[in-house]
Amino acid sequence: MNVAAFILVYGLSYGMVLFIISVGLAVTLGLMRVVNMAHGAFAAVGGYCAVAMMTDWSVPFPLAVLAATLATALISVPIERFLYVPIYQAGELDQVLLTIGLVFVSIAGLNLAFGPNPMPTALPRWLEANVDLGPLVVQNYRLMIIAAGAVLIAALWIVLDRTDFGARLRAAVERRGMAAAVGINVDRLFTVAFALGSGLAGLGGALGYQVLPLEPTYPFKYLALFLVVVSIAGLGNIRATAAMALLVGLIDTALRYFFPAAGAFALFAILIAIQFWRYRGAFRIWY
Amino acid sequence: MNAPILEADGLTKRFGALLVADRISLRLAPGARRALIGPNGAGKTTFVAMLSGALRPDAGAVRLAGEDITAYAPHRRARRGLARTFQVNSQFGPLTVLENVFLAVSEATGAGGGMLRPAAAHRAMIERAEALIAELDLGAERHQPVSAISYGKQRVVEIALALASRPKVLLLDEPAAGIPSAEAARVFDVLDRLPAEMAILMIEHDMAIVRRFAAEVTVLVNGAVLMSGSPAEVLSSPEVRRVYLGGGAGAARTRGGAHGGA
Amino acid sequence: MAGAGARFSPLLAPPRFGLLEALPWLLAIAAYFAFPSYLSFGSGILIMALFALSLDLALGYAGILTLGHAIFFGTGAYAAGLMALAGWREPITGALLSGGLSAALAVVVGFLVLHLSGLPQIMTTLALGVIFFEVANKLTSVTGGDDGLQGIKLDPLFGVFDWTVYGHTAYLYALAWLLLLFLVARRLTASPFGLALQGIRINPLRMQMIGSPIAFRLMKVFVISGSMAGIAGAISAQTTKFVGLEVYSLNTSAAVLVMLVLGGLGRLYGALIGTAVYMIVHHAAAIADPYNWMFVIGALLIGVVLLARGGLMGVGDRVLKRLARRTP
Repeated sequence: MNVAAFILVYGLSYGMVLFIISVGLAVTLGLMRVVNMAHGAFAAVGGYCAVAMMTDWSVPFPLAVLAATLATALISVPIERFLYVPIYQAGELDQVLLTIGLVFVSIAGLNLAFGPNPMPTALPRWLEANVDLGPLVVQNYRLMIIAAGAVLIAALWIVLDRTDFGARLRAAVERRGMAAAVGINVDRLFTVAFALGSGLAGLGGALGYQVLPLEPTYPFKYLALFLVVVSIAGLGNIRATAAMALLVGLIDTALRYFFPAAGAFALFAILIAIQFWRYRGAFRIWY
Repeated sequence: MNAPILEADGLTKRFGALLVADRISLRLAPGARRALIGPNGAGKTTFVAMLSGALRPDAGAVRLAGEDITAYAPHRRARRGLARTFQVNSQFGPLTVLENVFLAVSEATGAGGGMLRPAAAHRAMIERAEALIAELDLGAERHQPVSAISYGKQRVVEIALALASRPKVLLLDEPAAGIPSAEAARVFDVLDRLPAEMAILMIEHDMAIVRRFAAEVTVLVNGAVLMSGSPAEVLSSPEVRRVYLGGGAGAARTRGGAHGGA
Repeated sequence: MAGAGARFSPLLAPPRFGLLEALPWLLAIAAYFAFPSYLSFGSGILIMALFALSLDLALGYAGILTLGHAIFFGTGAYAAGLMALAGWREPITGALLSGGLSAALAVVVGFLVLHLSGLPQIMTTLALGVIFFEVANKLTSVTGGDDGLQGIKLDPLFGVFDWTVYGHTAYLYALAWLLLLFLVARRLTASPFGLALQGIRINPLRMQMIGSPIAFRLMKVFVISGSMAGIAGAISAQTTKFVGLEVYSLNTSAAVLVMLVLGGLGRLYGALIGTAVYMIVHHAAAIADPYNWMFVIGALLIGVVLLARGGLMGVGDRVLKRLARRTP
């Protein structure tokens, strides 16, 4: 087995799942400036819905994923209106606290709805099937994720750079007050962006249900990971989030292969180093 | 002229390609009453930020009573006798007026780090805070949170925080900004009663206040000093009128007009 | 900010032990006699209350946003455990030394964290917590990994009081530490230093402009807070005779934050009340289902942020105000 190919394929597919989930967080953080600790909950909801549909109702995978994504996006709307709108202008602490509260509620809710055991990670046969790429034999599943991720990146690029909505979104991210002043309905934009971000999280959770297995503590378990990806990338920077997620996927997979002793903390050490570098000016002035 | 108490020597600052301060030099004698005027974006607040230490200049020096403080952190300059107020209210909202002033007094006297005795036991500092509060006519509100009192009184607290350290130099950034006319008299009263030996530099947009208060006026345009002189000289100078008072983006206005940044 | 409105007012009410203040302590002593079979649970509450108290100093008063305070708790726990296993079995000095180690750690962490604010500060503290957890996880030879440190034995307290299985000594030991450090915290927050911390939280730039060396002040409170958390961890190791990876987990950092906020930030007693409520709810609800308590706590947290600012202490304040208005 070609090691490089292994790391490439598995790293990229892992990174794609991280990207699809994290891009929504990049939007919420960058646009609404809300520290959203509950983002992982939306990914979990999407994943759970999809898997439940597949196992309980024998819904085919693509349909289940689509339905789960839409369901997550829909659920996010009342949550945004009632819980997030009040904290948009609040301090970071209040935002952290409320969204942590939401995580707790979501974990309890998931447990109530689906039970405490991890959801099955078995794949439908066509995804489970292997494909011989020459240097590597890999499941269709992994390739599917990479392909889906690539399509999504292209779609996001088109939406953000080429459409009206994208232009308005970018304007609102960069200059909220100005955007409101020129007539952009910022409230509605936020709701749509939040639904988009949460829907994407659901999509990532659904597509990646074997990469990030689903269990009630999912929202909390992978939270640190999503936050790290987005923090290193820089808030609201969607292109950097994509690059960062893929990089994280690759590095993490490579580390697990070559230095299993290193564990997950290499990533977090990098985050600390980057934050220190980014704010070295503040450090100098401070002391 | 006696030795200046505050001296800015060729202060220069760039933000990227933008030159916001161009070799600004200025001397304040003890007891000075100087107004700093200029169109929006002229760099007045940037200049004051460099004096107070919130911003480091790219070139130039700041001297306080002869001592070079250019490299000093803001709190060190404050301890040396340089105090500043802010254009937008910057107090400790949830704390009471007395607590606000007490904080300023305790940090100024170096007792702010005291961990052993309760604050309530520091009678001398409480008395000093109470005295300042009484002097500024804030006695009635002293146990109320600052966020709960009227805007005009908050501006007075803003000045109180600066006065608590009995500074040698006071930098005021539009002290009457945003105050409804009815309450403005209170602030003017406070300004009139400031100690004669204190050197005061005031950023102002309101020419009426400048005329009433300043003995000298410095005009800042595009980050550079245009001229300095008595209020009469400056305000009748054709050049100043053209650049500043003549209209366009930097037109001066009287009280009640639109508010812009400095 | 949740709880920022309600706080101890040093200049108006010089600290004096009123009857209302003695109540929690009397309750704690009463519990010792009333619930002899729940003493280990009670010790757990006292230990977490001390941990929450340490966080109140850093977060409630000084405004340091940390989701990684378990770093200090865990280090104190492992230090105390390892000391006992290595032969140093005197509990009080063991706790003090563990606290000292946590204090030293706080200095290092302080240099990474204190000059930051907002999300960067939260993220850095969170990341540090994860790193400590992962390192502890990997260093199985030192920490025992998943199995943890077991079989910790201590000398009798003051050479006299044995550590009974029912936890009598443990409970009173924990209570004594809590009371002592609470009095320290009370003195600290009532001092000019305590007021300065609030000033730094509310408006750090203004504090600098009135002459406050805020970097120095924050480092001081962070070290004090870290050492208190370390002592709490040490007591945990000493009384439960066990140290597991949980002491470093994000769960622990988040839980103590929730406990504190539920009780009310910046009130000191909020740490005690919030911890007690949280742990009792957790215990009661978990009997039925291990996840139910999360529902209640999560809802309470959302409620605190949206409605009941100042947590339970804030609610209590408002109730007292209404009662005061009613009495003629």
